Amino acid sequence: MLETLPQALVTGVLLGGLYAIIGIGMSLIFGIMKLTNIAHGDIMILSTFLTMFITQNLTGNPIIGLLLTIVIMMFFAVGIQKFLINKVITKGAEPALLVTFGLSIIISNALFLAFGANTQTIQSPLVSMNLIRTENVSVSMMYMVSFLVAVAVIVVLTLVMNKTSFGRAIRAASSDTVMSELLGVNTKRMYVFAMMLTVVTASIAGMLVGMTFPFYPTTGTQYLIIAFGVVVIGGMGSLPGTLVGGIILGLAQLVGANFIGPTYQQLIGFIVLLVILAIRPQGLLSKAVRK
Amino acid sequence: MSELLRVEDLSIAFGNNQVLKGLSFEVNENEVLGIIGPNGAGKTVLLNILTGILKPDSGRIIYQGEDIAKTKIVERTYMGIGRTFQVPRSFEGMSVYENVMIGGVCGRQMTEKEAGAGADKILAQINMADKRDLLAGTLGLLDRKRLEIGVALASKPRLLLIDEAAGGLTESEVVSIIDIVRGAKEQGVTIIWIEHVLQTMIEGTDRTLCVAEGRNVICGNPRDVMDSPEVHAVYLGTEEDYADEGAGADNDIAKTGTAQALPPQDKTLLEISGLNVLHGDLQAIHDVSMRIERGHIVSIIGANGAGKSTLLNTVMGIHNPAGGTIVFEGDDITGKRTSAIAEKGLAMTPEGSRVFADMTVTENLLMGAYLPAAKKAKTEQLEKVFEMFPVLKEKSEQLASFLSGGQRQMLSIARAIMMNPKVVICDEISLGLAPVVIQDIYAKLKELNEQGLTFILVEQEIKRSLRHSDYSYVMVKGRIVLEGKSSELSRSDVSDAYFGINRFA
Repeated sequence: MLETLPQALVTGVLLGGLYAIIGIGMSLIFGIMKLTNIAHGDIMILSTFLTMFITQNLTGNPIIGLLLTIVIMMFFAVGIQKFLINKVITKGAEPALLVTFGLSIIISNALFLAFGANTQTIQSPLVSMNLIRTENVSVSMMYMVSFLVAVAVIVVLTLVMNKTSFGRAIRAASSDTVMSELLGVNTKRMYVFAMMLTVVTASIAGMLVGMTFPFYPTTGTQYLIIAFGVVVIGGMGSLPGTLVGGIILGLAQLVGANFIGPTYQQLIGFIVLLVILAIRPQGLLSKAVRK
Repeated sequence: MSELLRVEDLSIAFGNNQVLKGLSFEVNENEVLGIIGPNGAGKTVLLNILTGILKPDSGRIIYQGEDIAKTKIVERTYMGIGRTFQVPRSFEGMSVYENVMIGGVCGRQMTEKEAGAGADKILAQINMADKRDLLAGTLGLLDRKRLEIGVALASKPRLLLIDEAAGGLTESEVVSIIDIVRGAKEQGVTIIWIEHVLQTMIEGTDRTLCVAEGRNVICGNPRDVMDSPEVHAVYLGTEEDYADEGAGADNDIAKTGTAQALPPQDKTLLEISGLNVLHGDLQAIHDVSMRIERGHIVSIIGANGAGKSTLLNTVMGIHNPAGGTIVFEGDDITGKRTSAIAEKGLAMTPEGSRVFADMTVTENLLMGAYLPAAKKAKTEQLEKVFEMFPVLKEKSEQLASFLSGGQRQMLSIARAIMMNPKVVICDEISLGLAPVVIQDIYAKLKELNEQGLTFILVEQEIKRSLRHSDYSYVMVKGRIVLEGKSSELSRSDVSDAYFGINRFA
């Protein structure tokens, strides 16, 4: 077991990067709108299917497929935010939560209708490549790319949030809606922008997931739970927290699987989640607990 | 008359906040004692201590000769102490009759039969016999307040504690509440009535106690208490409080600025006509009309709960009015989105400053320059506000959460100035600040006003408002009861309107 530990550590950390990018969108939406987006996993898988479809039928290049997917998903984001979530967001947390729950069911069933129940993949040469290969440890190119992309996305988003007027306005809207409005920030429009940012990160995550793991219309829920874990461990609304959360969850799963057995991989991840929840319910990197 | 309840030297603190500081009073058998006091005086905390929800840090509560300070909530109910709540807590899904029954069955462990017989009597007493079978959730505010008292009476209390029964009611409705309270007294109930609406005290109570900052101020005949200089000082501040606020600068309205030379229609910056605002079924603003002139400082004076903040929030589009119009520079802005109203040039420093605590001082100021027009001039504006508030420049890279109360208030004003607005609405900017800081802030406002900026100030302190403004409006219970040039209004005019003694009696 000890001889396989280095491999578990490396894969755990790298997988954590992928988990982080899955969780970013969920964290953003929670941080800004105080909304738990139940449809987050399904929105991501929808973009995965779109990227697959466009790549297979139109371009052949997954990167162009991703760019087109992002454009389509942005329209989708405007639609659901402006015409569904914004209509109910002022009426408290529960109605918006139910809207996203409904959205989750609609998306997974629509995918089922369009693509059938078959397991799909997005073909990528990265999957079979190894960056490093020694006797004990191999580093998959796919995992490494996912990790680096996740770090890049988090760095870019952190800069946008801290250094730009747009980012400041989003932070202001998330901390005091009324005051932001008094300063001329149209908070509902900010929510639309936040949802657009979310689907961009979800589309990137979706492509990486689609290249790394097989997927089918109902996989979304599985990734919702991962996103939830990442965000809860790292702290709702904290960007660096998602990376920390992702890595902890990834490590917990793989190191746990290494010692106890792969069957328990998911279970161990969530035991760690529960332990952290019990010790630090606001998450590791979240700002102080709300008054 | 024998004594029913005596409170001795009651003290309680929440963290560093000493809410009650040795409060003492007594209530005699079959007496109605009124307790008044400004917000934060400790009135509701006192009620919570009397009912056993809170435990005092020290002091004694002698009820029928026994110290009950250590007894539990339910034991006190059985001893005959009943209460009503500030916000009515009737069971909405039950009928009026069932609500009153609950009071009897649970409060005094009566059988259903006994309670039922009593309930009909109580419904007659609170004038709700015809509403016996209506669901409590469908009732209007007056009926819910009456029912609240009815439920408390059903438990046959010896001592009834009433928490703000008159808030939000019209004058005739208040009279009907007073009748119910007097009726209960005639049946032998002893009553402690805590109230914000001062006018109820004269008609409704035998003695009135004024509490401020957790201490007794004065106690005695209601009318004497209302007229006493001590009570006026508690609500309106004393002359001495303002002695250090630049005595020479009184009301120099004879401004020579450009505003005075404009034709009358251009002089009006903001015009409010016939504004009505509802909070649920409570009417917060009644038919308010105002005209704010360009270049003026206009103050709105009123006690807590008079509707000042609601009025301003409605101007800024945070509340939607039920009727009336708000016109800014000829544009109807009634019911527009807040951000759109801000874009027209209306800035507001809300009560409690509301700076973004997790942003730096500079970031807060840049939020003020969010709108495109302000963003273009942000560098010059930033220099200007730093020059005006040097302390903000010193702390420019610190998080706003590290600022003191006065500094936050300055940041809030500076942030509003960053918007390059036409009018700044300041809601209670002096609340909780030291006199020297207040003086400093008002000096800055004056400076900005001399540069042509219009201000609307909301204040509880009459003298300060009159001193620093060109024109004043006095609000009582959602209505404007007095207006005029600040130089022509005297403190006693305002305090008469404020206490409304002559209007009510």
